[in-house]
Amino acid sequence: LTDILYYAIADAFQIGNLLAIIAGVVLGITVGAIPGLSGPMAIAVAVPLTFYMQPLTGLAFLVSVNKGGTFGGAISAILLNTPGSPEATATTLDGHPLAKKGQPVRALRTALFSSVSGDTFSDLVLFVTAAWLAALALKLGPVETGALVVVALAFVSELLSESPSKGLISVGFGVLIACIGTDPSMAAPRMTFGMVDLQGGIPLMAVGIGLLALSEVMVRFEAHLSDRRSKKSEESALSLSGQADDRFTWSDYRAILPTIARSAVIGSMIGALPGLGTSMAAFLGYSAARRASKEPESFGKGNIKGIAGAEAANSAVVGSNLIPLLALGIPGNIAAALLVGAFIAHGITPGPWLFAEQPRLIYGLFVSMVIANVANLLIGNSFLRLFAMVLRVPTHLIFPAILFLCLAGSYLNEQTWFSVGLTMVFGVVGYGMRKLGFPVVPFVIGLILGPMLERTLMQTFIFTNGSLLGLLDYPAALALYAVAAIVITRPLWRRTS
Amino acid sequence: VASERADFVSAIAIIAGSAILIFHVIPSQTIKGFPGEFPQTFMPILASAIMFIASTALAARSLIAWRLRRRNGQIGRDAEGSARDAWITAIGLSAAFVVVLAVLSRFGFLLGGAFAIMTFGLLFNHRRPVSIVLLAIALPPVAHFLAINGLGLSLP
Repeated sequence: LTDILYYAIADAFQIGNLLAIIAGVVLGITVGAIPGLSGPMAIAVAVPLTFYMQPLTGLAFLVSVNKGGTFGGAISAILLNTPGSPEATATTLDGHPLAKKGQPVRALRTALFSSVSGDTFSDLVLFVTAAWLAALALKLGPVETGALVVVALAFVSELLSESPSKGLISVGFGVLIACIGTDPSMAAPRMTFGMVDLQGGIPLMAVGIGLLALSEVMVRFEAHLSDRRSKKSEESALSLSGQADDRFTWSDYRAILPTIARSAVIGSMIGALPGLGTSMAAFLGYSAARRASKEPESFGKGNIKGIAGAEAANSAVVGSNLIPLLALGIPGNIAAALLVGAFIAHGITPGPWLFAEQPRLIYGLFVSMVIANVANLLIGNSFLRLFAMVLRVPTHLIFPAILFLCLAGSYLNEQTWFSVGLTMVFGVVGYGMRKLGFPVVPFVIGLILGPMLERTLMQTFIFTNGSLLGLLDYPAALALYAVAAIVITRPLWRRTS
Repeated sequence: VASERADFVSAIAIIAGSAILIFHVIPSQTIKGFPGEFPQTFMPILASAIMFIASTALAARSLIAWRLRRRNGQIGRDAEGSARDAWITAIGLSAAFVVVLAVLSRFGFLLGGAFAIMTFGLLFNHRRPVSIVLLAIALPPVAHFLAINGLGLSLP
């Protein structure tokens, strides 16, 4: 292991890797700062850029985009009162009031230091638990793995949507789309309607770019139409020229340290469970900070502990959400789901066997994550004013540029116009889903886990001779199926009781 | 009210769609395997059945919520402006996507990309054509150069 760690550290500190991490952090903060755009959306568009990179460099780049994006969301939350990404909504509660009091830099630096501290803690949780959990997961057979996938999908459908029925419809739709192409049991085309382009299946990144990025362009276009109709002008960002006391000091950091620690634990726990998401972590972190405070009435009026509670919790999800991905091969949220696409693009299937087959890559990624945290802190702290300027770029320039990058990214991904067309189709589908309140994240996770579910169910079918009674020989799998049934039917009994 | 009506209409559409999938599309787009083999139809039928059951629950729930509101006299007018904007966006941008795809595949990313940026930029704000044209002229060549020379990727 010492040799592997030595090589992993050497790989992570290679100049190309360091440059990719810096570029990823800069891209992440910039994209995250733009209202409506988030780290996962940047990952979706950036995946094709990593194709010709070394696997470690590509993955380090994408993880850095996510880390930067999580802090970037706080910039517009604080200066514009509009969260750059959904998880930054809780940051607006105290961030914007503090900025309005003439302390925008103090608010932003509180967010940055809390974000990086929470993220670093969560990375440590990942390093400590992932290998141990992966070793445990390797003891699971295909029957239990299939049941585990069903549990993950049940959690995702139940927790990532306001309406469990809509979550379940989204998951079902994702699994259905995953069925298109050559099926694994007979190696024959299925639901391809005679189209050769569909025989390889629906490309994940084309769908991801369409659903996450292109649909957001459409949502922004509609918001623009509504603003024009109501003659509402774009809100302007607060400037960073604050008062003389607009500084983040060591005593500030010492004061928020217990809040950061509490929120980091909350965020790491939430990140490790599939489906719970960063927004929930941010609000739980915020409310825990408020409950623990001696002056809860100051929350919502610019208390730095409110900013720290939200930011440390939402950033603590970033590292720990890789635990189910690396230990079980199951992505727990959208960022992890998109990283699956990047792993697959490099010919690597994420899962517990990675620790045995590619230890140098995994430990190199862990070291890169630590470097990315340092880069996030240094770059965010040094170029705060520059990132704040992103908020002044008008939407009529940002969104057409993003649309162009989406289309180019989709082409680069598959090198076909068919893929660009699919991105457009799924952009419209994603827009429709958002308008009707169907969550897109369970759809993407269903699309990713669909093939894994089919493979494991096929193996279950063989082991049990196609009989449900055969499942009685697998008590762990039965228990997991029972958990999935409880999760799915829980809203029904809640309503009747 | 608008949301419950939209939920009900979309649930009915999904019920109909999944029924068509189960009874027509999946049987005609899959092959029959040998007895005792894991059937090719299993996963698509499972996914469609999940959609069918969940959308039935959604339709029932939205109907109950609508009746409860009506009983409490909480029925108001739908947000017409918002629905109109959503339809304009969906239909207008879908049409623009079709045109942009045709232009991109015919002229490539340098000219087609400039066309796409101009089209969508002007749709966003037709009062600022100069900055949009400048972006349309500058971004595609830079992206093209970076993709081909910087990343070694191929972009037409």
